[in-house]
Amino acid sequence: MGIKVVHRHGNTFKEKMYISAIFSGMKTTLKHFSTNLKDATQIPTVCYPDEKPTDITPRYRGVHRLTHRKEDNSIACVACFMCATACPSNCIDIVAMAREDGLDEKMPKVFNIDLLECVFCGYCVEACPCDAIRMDSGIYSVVGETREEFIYDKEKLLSIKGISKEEYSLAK
Amino acid sequence: MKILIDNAEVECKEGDLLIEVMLKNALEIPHFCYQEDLGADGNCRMCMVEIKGQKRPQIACNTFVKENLEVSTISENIKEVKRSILELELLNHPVDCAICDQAGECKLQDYYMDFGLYDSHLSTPKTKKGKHIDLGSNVMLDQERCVLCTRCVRFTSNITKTNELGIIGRGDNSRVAVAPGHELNNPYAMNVVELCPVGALTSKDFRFKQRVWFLDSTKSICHGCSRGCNIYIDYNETKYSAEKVHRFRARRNNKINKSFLCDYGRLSYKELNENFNADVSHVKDLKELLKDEKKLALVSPSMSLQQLQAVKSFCKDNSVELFSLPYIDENFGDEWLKTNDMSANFNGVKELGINYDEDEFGVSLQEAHVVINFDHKYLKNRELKSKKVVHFTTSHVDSDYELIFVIADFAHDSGTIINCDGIRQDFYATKYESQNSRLVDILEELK
Repeated sequence: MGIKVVHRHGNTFKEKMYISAIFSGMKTTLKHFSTNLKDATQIPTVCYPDEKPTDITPRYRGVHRLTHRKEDNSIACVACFMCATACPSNCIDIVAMAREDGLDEKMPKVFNIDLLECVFCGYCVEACPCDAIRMDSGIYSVVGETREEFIYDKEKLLSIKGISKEEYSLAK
Repeated sequence: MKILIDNAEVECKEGDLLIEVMLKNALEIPHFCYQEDLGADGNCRMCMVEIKGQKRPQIACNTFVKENLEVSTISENIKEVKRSILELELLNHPVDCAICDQAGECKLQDYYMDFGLYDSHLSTPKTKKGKHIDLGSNVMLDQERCVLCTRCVRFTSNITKTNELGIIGRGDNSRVAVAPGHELNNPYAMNVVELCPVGALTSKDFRFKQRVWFLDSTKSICHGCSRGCNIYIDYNETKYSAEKVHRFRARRNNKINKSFLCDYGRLSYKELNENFNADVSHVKDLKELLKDEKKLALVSPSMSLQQLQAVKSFCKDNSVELFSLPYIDENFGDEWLKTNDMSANFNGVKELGINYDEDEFGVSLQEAHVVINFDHKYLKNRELKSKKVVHFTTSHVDSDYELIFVIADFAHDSGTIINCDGIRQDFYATKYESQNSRLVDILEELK
């Protein structure tokens, strides 16, 4: 294995004094300070929660939602358990049942996501073969008073609207 | 005799089937139609191997080994052959693994990942066939997923001799079906679900209950009758649901059940899920009762040798008269796996010299003041007036009782039983702790 010798910084007398580094740092700080003082509208800080963020895109991993089928607006999920299998925090509870309407054979009877357990990694979305679960709701804040309120069931997840332009499941 | 398979020497006998030699030595050989108990049919062509000196690839399930045989299963040529065959098998497959119960234990999935990995060349629409057809006897048929290996057809024609299933149609339209107006109806029908290497035949009982990769398996013995068929108990406990047994699967044992199970035994797992909650009595109350003079105990003949031994020494120490009666059902048995004796360990009862005379039991029962029932079905729902009844039970008790102890069932307690042919077999406890104590432990506490 080849060895690459990297020059280590910070060993000279000048660097050990820290004075030049402090001044160059202060120079940057003062530069931003004067810019913001001249034009306060350009400050990127958002005064959350008085001010809401405006840059939430469909790619932002917000609260999950279950999508509908384009044909008849019914649930797209077929209860294949791929999301529950991929989930590293084990926060998805699915109970499957047979589907009677002829569109498919299987659908979830129970589909609960415990948002307190969820780590919002998005693996469930990646794993889904039916584009049935998405995190494009744009919801970044969930508030509740009891633990039970954070367990989103099938109806709740189906009722959440997405902010991306594809509303329905894109699965073929 | 030795032959060379992929440049490794393998020991075998002249005239053995090549595929059997390979399976015995745990060598990878993809196959659909060959099954140990049904034999080879040679229709799936998946077990193609290259044999030195032969022009074309040969199927291993119709090749008998002979001196100086040199076999290759990993050459580029044979891989290409397997890929093409698999592509043909999968040509009209609906690829609905997401809703298929077989996913996770499906041979098509395994082989596609091993040899397939091609993109479909099909430009015309796939042939449509029947889906979720209820064949009867808890079997669901999906004709689109079928690879036409005829294992199920051969099972009904060669093993059960009931001939319900057949292949109808030609070419693309070939499909497994029952004759119109008929249904799959025999006491061994659910074996076809396990025989099916793909998701064409699935169990209605297990349908959509669990994905198989969430299940744990434990080696056990069916307690449905005295045959002692070898099984796997498939069970799990998840974050959101308590421990539950989901199915029994046949475990191969050439001396007893080969790779089959009867439907009664296969569905008897449900008894293990019946949760029985009772306020368990105190051991010291039982000690109090044991001071009585006339005591009788009846022990279930389905208990393991270890349990029977513990019960026997308990009865000896406390001068309790001990009996065991077999569960006989004259209508249950048949010529194959089912036996009329529906107790799992009646031979064990005999071996330990426990009294099983019904008349003597009747006389003793009338005289006894205290009756201790070790999980015997005969006393569970029977009112015994003016007697103090103590139950050690795994399941629900309907009658009145003085004391009750809920004990772990055979899925939660390991042991040994002796089957009707005198074969001793061990079974093991599932990995989750039972909420009920083991009988042996309770009796130990009583000493």
